[in-house]
Amino acid sequence: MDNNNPWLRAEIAQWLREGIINDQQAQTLYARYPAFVAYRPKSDGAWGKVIFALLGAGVFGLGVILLFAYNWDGMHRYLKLTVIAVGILATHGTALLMAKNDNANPRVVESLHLLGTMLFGAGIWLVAQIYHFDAHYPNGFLLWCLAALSLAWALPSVAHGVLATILLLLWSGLETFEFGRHLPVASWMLLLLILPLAWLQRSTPMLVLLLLAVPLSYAFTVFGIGDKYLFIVGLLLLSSYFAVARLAAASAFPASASVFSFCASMLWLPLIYIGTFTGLPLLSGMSQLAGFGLLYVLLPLLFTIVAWGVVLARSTTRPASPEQWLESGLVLLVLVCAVLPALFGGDVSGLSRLVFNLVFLAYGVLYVYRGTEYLKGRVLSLGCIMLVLLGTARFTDLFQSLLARSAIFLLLGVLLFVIGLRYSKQNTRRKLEKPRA
Amino acid sequence: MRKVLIIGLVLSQFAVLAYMAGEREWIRHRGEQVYLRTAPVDPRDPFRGDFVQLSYSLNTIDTARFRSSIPANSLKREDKVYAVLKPSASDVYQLDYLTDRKPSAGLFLQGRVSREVSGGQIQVRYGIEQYFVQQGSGIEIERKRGERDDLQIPMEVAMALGRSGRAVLTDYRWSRIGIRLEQNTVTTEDDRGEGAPPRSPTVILTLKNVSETPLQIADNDAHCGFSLQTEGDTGRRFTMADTRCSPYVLKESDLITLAPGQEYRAELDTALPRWYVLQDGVTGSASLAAAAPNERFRMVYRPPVVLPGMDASANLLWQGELVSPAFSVRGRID
Repeated sequence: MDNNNPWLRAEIAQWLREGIINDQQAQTLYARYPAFVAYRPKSDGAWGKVIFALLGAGVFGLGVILLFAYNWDGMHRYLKLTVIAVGILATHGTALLMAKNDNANPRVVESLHLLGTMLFGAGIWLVAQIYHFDAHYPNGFLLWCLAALSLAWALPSVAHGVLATILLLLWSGLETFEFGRHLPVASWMLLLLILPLAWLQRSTPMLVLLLLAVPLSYAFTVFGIGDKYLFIVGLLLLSSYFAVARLAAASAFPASASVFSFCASMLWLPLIYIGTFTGLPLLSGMSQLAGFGLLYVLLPLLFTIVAWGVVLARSTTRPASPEQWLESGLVLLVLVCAVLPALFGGDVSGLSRLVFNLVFLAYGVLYVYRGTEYLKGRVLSLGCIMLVLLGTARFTDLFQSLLARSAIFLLLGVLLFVIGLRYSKQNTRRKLEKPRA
Repeated sequence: MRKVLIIGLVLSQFAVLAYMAGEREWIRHRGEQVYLRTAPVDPRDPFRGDFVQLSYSLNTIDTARFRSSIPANSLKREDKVYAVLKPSASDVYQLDYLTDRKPSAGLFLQGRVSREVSGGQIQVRYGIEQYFVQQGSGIEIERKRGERDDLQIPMEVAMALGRSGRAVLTDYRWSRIGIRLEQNTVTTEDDRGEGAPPRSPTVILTLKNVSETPLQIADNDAHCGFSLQTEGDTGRRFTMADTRCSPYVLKESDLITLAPGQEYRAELDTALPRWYVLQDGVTGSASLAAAAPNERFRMVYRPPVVLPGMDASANLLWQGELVSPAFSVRGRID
């Protein structure tokens, strides 16, 4: 589809001229197939080749770094510098020459550029090694990241974007844990410089990485403000992902909706589970947070409220079915009954534990229903595991008598048995309705 | 257009590396060659391989040696500072003073404050604290340097100093003299009664000539050749109360000639008033055990001042500071 992007845009223009579509429809179509995707490297569909070329470039580059790390005494420093300089110019040069040829595999071209950028990273450490300097070494990762990021946009290249994301995380993580410097700029770079690239490139893998990287990077910043805010900021960020997922479903990149939901659930559910044990901490003294501290705690709150406001206000994004309402409602329940009161200084440790337990239970039941109704084995397994985890977690701290504990486990056992029966029954029915399915 | 941009970005990668290497090459060739004395330890970096961690006396500087219009305590982490150097014997340079203003002349190192000022000590990093070696060589250097409770031979690192205060390490050599610190822990709670505070320890310092030629050191009955230096761990500032050795002026009888391989042992009983310390803000001196039971100290050997007329007999006198491993009243040696 992407290969046909220029053709498609020309066709849209022609349809508009011929009156087949109106201006608004043309705009909608243009938004759906942005011009930038035209530059996306063409693929011949040989995914094995592509993955191995990209992975190979990355691993080869790491190998070069480690090779130089051996630091031969017998190799003169000028020779080492020459090897790395020639390597960088040769790989990028070959890629540029190959790009001239229409038959060249664009992924191989991209891989060669990636290898060149990996060699550039190796060069940074090599120069540091040769001249024995260790002046604030996270800066090396930042420099490397900027080189990868600039090429990610210029080529454009998802592989470079992925490399830039990893290096940015390394940089901000090292600054946080090695030097106690908390850099919000890393999160802004992820959101403003890398996320748009993933969006325009319609790259699902890059979007997954970014959506996992953003909370991590933001956590590095919040860690500097106070680790007691980590949990609540995490919940706010992830709840906004659920809202953005609903907005993304009606956007030019509808496939991103499932990515947002997947990434959000992957982090949200463990947090809710942890919350069933800990509840939310008492957040007193928030108004005394210095500098931008308060802003970085409140920013996710603001974003979440706006995102959910837009979701609920627009008919196209509002939940349509009872199942969707339940899923959105569970997120909003956590926000309204636990997160917001805690942010305003309320002591909700007990209430929030209750909310987290109920929400986790509801998710478990919802996934079991969804798994059996639509015959999704993985979703069903997740639901069952969640129910077992919740039962096990409450084994020691909720039920005092052995009788109550045994009753819970008997009930859980029966429930799992019934779920198994329902799944099997639904499966048989589906096969009878659609024998070839 | 896009191709031009890509070519430009590729060339910028090359240019960044060329600048990084070129700047250091320039300093290597045009900078002033000096030596600084260090004590290494031996870790490994996953990206750059084996390196020897270098620690200089310039990394921990007493606030009294900070010259500025602002107080030393107002220095913040990552603040830029300049360590002005002065020459001593054998091209080995020492700290003259630390300042926050870039000197207009002379030799100096540019560094950054690495943590908040505490205990009257300023911690500074200069970006020359790592010396990269071929994998496996780091262990050899470590072996040569010696274990913490064994004889330790300081490394003297050669570096080229640029006008901006940036340094590039170029080589290293070994000091002509090694030092060992032993701590006598015979006196325990048993003979002082249960719950009694620990006694200030007796430390035995050994200086050994590890060179191929004879050299001289100087010491006397009061052990004026040695002084106490605090590590500043507890955030309190201690200075030596005894001023008999300030300054320590050389007498001919104090000269000790060490043949190659020969040692000099000095037994220093830190319970004696000679080693009492003064704590900032506290009246009166006290022993280490009473005033600073949790503080770590080092013994520093410094040669005496040689007055005119004594030059001829002290021509082999070893110049430079020799710092012992850190010790504490509790008996731990680092």
